[in-house]
Amino acid sequence: MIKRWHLTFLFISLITLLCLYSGLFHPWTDLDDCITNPENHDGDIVTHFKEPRIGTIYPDGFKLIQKDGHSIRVYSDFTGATEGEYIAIKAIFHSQGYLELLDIRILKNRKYKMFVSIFPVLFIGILFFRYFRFNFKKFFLEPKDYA
Amino acid sequence: MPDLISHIAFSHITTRIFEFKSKSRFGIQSRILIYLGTILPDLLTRPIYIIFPETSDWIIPFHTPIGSLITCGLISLLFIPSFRLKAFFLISFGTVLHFFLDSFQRHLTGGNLFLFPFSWKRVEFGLVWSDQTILFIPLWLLLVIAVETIFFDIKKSRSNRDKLL
Repeated sequence: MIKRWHLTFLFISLITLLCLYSGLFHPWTDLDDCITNPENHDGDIVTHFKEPRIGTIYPDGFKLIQKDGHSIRVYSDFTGATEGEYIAIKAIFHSQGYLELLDIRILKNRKYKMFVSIFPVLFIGILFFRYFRFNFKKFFLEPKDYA
Repeated sequence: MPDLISHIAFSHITTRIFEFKSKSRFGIQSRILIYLGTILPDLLTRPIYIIFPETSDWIIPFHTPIGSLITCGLISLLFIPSFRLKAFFLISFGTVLHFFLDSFQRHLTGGNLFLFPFSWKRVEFGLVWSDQTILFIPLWLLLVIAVETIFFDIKKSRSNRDKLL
């Protein structure tokens, strides 16, 4: 008979394998790959960034800043950006250390979306522990009125 | 992702429609598990990669159908044995609703990895930009109020009919 701990181990192993697969074998190039190894990624289209925002704005583009601190100059004729805004971009990487913009979307409402999403989590958390309790002796969650 | 208010509103409306069709009710506990399922894929990924962006490529499975199914299995194992299967189906149903709503979004760099780990192809219907979903919150809340009003009226008329019989 399959025990609870066997299934737990199986599921944790499966999800860990999937995480390793996605982390190691994903097919896209991100900015960090390009910065680490510029010669190999010259001309690559980059679509994956880590929480990119607009930094300094220049007449011929802007500086893209990632949350991990990496930044890169982006050349474009795009106007209408404001410093600090979240963006989604598609750009060509050049080994000289800059990006040439192909497409951009300013994610104006992203910060508000993050903010309003906190409330449902709190709401569900409160509801959950109002109707379920954790039995520490048996290490089980059980509905409060369960016979 | 749409914001989590939209996700919960959508799952609430869907479960109400199911209740109306089947003439039976989800209990409050079942409903909470469906809500939990509907926020689970975002709950397990967004806070992590917003705080630790370098993990973004590693936590992708938690926002895919297969990965979510495994996570639902893992969470349902926390429940007492007699409630476990029910918990698994209810949380999984919530995640299905989550991915259904996500599929209507539009992204500049592609959509959801629904076929992961078998394919890296991104799938989406692309109707609404992902950052614009927040503008629909008032509409979702109005829909919830409308559905609740209709549901209340139906319940009242059914109980009146039962009294007459």
